[in-house]
Amino acid sequence: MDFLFFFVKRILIAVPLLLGISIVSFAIIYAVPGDFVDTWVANTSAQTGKSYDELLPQAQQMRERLGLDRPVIIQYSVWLKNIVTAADFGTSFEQNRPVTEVIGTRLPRTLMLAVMTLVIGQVIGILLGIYAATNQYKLGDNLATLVAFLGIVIPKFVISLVILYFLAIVWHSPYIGAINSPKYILQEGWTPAKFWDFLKHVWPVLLVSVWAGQAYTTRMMRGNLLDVMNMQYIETARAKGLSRGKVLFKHAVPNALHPVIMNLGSRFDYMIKGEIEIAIVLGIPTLGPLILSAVSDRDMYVVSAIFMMVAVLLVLGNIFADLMLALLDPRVRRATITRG
Amino acid sequence: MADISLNAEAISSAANLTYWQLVRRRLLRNRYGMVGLAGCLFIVFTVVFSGFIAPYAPEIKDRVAVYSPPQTIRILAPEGGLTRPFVYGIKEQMDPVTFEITFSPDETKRANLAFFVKGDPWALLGMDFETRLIGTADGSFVHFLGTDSLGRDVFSRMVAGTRITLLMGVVVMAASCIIGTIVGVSSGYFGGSFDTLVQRVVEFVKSFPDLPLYLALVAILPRRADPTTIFILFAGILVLLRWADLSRELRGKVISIRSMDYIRSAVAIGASDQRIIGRHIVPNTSSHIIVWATYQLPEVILLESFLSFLGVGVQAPMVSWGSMLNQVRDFQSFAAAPWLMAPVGMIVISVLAFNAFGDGLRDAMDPYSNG
Amino acid sequence: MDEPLLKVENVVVDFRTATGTVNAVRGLSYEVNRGETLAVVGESGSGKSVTARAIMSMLAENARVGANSKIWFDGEEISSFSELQMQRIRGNRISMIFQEPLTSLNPIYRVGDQVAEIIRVHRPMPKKEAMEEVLRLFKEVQLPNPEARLGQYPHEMSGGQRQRVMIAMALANKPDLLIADEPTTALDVTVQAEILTLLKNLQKSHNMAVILITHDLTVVEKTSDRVVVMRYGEVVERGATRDVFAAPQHPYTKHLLASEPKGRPGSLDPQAAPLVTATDMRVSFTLTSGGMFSRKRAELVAVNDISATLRRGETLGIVGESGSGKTTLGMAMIRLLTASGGRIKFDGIDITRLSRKEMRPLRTRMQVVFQDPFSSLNPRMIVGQIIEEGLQVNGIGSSAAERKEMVGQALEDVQMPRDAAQRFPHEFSGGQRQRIAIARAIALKPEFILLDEPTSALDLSIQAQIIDLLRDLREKHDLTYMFISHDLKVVRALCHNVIVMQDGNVIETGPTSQVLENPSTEYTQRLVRAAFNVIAA
Repeated sequence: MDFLFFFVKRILIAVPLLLGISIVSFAIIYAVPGDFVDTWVANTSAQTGKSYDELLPQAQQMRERLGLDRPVIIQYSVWLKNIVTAADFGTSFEQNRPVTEVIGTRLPRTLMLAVMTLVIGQVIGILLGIYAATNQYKLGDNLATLVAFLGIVIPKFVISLVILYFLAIVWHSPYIGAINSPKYILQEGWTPAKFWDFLKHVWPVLLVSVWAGQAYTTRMMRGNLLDVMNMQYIETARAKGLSRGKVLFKHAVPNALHPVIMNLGSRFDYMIKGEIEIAIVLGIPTLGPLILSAVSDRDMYVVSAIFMMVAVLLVLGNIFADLMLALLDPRVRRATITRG
Repeated sequence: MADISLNAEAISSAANLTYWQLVRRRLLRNRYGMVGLAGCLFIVFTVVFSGFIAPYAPEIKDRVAVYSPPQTIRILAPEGGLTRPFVYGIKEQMDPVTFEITFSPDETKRANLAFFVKGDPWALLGMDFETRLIGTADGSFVHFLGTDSLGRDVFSRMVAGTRITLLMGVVVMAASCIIGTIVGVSSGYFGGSFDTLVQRVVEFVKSFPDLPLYLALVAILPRRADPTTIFILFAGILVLLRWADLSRELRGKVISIRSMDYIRSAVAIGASDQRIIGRHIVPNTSSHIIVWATYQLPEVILLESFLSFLGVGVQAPMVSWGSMLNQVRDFQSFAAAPWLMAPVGMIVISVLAFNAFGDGLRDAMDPYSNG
Repeated sequence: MDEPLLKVENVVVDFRTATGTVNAVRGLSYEVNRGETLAVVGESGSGKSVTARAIMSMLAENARVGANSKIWFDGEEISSFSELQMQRIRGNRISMIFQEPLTSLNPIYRVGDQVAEIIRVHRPMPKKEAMEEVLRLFKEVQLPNPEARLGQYPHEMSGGQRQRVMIAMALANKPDLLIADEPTTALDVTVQAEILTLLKNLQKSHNMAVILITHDLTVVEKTSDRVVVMRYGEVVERGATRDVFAAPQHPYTKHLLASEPKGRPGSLDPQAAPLVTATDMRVSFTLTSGGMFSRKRAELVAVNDISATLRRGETLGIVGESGSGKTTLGMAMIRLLTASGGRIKFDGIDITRLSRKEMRPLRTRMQVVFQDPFSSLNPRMIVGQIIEEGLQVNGIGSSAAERKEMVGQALEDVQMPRDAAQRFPHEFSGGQRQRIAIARAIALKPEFILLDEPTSALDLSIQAQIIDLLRDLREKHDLTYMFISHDLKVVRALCHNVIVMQDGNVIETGPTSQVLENPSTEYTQRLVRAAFNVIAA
């Protein structure tokens, strides 16, 4: 019962945030002179050689059709209303399809990749962190810390570039720029073969993302575990006659995990951003490249919807992390004193 | 009266060191931090003396050598034995079948290198200079890292780009530090409704999907505007989203310092809020601020590099490492001229150096963390 | 039994640190017989805790034990045991309990499970059976409501209850030896008495030997059979407790025993005018409890309509256990807190509702010294600046040179050398820092000083020095003190009158000698008994 309450409360708090984000994203597109139609005119004029005046009537028509001639506020409120009543995020001007469809293919992919890399990255980070802490100042620690350090420091897009170079020029790999090979794209559902094909396409994303993602966690886990090992209850555990392994894994690690879990929300955020960055470089059709193209096309609804979607993902990620924390830690119910 | 002699409470005879002297001592002992510091100094040196180090000004075009490969410095003469450093010229060949243009060293054209040659004028602190560190004895072009699509020397541009990239980093770091400190300290110290308001704002800023925002904002900046304006706008956007982080951290720190007894003592002697903030709180948060700032620099460098790489950041004629990489976005040029990736090296070096230094600094300032 | 149960011979322990080697224990030997209580007494840095961990082979990674160090337990040389062999002994034949009950238990597991763990590690049995044994143990340590406790988490229990759980855990496998490292230092005085009484009884019923490590001489005197006095890693004296206390041989032991707070406050001038009066003071806080899922609000009344008067030259002691509200009372009296109700008068001026600005001119007349010498001095300022700050802020002294002289004078008053002004707080020990804190207070030449547990964090001998210093200053500068403490012995030595508080209320008040020697309320009687006799008869 309490969980439900908490969940609802968090969602309610998130609503003004999302509203704010949607307003800002709308405002951004509007802040700059020129809308989608102007870009279309510029492009068409370049391609067909027609002048601006010749294209004007067409442009005017287009504006009316798309509703771009109405005042901003109206456009925004209509859009908002549609979202709330019909889950209709508008239409993509560029692709002439509902925004939900456009994003609908790409968002789940980004999400899936982000979640995969999050899980793998965190597990590796935790294990590495434990390893480093238990071998403090020895070779194992230095190696693990170095791996973590490089992960933090490494420019993701740079490494992606380098990998791209090898893929395209050196290995002539056929797996670039797509999620699946043509024969699997239309296939519904996942088979092991399709999954393997998928991995062959996206392994650079996974590699770079996981390496970057584990870094912060490794360091944090190492630091936490070292702190926890100095706690009195670890000494108690040893004094009970427990083996070193049991002391470590049953008593120390669960407590050290606490801040790592707390951070899962921000790690998820990082994974999403990382995926976007790498996908842009590698040309993989997920959210990243879509943002770029939508912005340069001034495809308004797509842009705003993407912003909202990403924000929703982040909010959900944070809620999830808080939930996990509450489940794991009985101390979360605690009294706080305020001056009264 | 208790016998003091039995108590041996000798005041430590170690030289009294200020906190900062202690930090310096600990830092000097930290290997990684020192290596990082060396890297940072190297970068700073490059920034200051970029005009001196680069053989040519970044806009200079060598019309005969477009997309030409790097020329290696050689010191072994073909006849054997060491000789003064020289480079071979480049000759072009076109493969008749594929029409691919290849370059190879032309052993007939040999140019000796010279130091402190007279080159394009450059300025530092309002003074004009003409001497450059390295060049050819006969004044011909030498390209240590090759040239780009317009025949511009990659090495020179890379060195020049250090200035812009670092400038962006320093400006964003300084501005977000100042804003974050003011907001964080005051909201932590004064609390109340001001604090609640600030917290909501910070939450909003932090929840904002920043990468999409950068992409969007920077993508729609008017391209035809003056590059300096774009630079300032770009920096402004970065600051806008980054100050919130420091603000939140400092707020937490200030709240914990606020409950310290020395703060209560200061109130008890009648100190004013300004005095308490200025003399008691900020000095005890300064280490946190400095460490945060040191980590900001590499983050901003990476961000700027990425956005400029996408073509949405620093604009010509300004040159930054990221904007140089913009040329390799086109796959063909990437394949044809992989040396255009050279700025990657500088990015990696600077990011590694600043992070290592930041780590060393953090360990030196807080020896009780298990870093 | 002729053969001692535990024999510690020539133990040497060094710690390798980044700044050099620390010789924590330098050749130490002692013995413990079956069924007896050996007290190991020493101040901080004496190495008493290190030795205990050496017995259990639980030293830190950077510790090096000397080659000739040997420890025998029940005839076996356990100092040469492997880790595996030691694991069979720990928690089984030798048990240990620690100082901080809050951090001694793992916060994320239920206490019942934690105790069951020690049972099942040494005597594998199904969980259900183990839990029954845990229940039996909880009853034996007199834990109230034992069935409910099985499923509780450590943070849901009080300090005393947690320590009982620790004792239950330690006793679970009926060990021959129990090592107790400052088991009651973090507990309230009355709880301390209960726990020590419990230990004494359990020891008798189990015929267990106990090594009791402590710095509290009263505890030693009342609970141990034999005692070993340690200093700087060496044993300076040993013997039967009675003998050592009656006729100490070593100068350090004599010094230590002499450091017990002694003396009495002088007499009060009955004509002295009241300096600080509090009438019906009330301080309350709003408590928000519940974590993320549900929030409740409750009002906590920390100080409940208390009235008190301090005359000039008087030292008033405020005595109570944790949560009694004594610190809150003190903070409210000098307006570091705002009271929710009642009136405070200082030298006739009503200061109850004065704003911070209005309080400024009065600040020089009332000062405060806090408990923790480590957080009361700004680590980034040199001592001279710390002491001078009050002078600067209040415009005292017309030039920097004059202020410097005043700072020097204050340092001299607290018996610190003048050049301490150039140094940083971290260069000084706890006792020295407390002197600096006192210097900061008296530099302003106040009339009234609030002292909030000023000696609680200090070693016994240092405490004695500070008490003497406070006495001298009181006489020299005609000061009025409000002395907050939980230590009745110190209060007896220093305070003219005393107020006993519990849960925000005044339980008893009056002249110190009267309240402490003839307490009229049941709570005060319990308090006094616990402080001076420790073990219930």
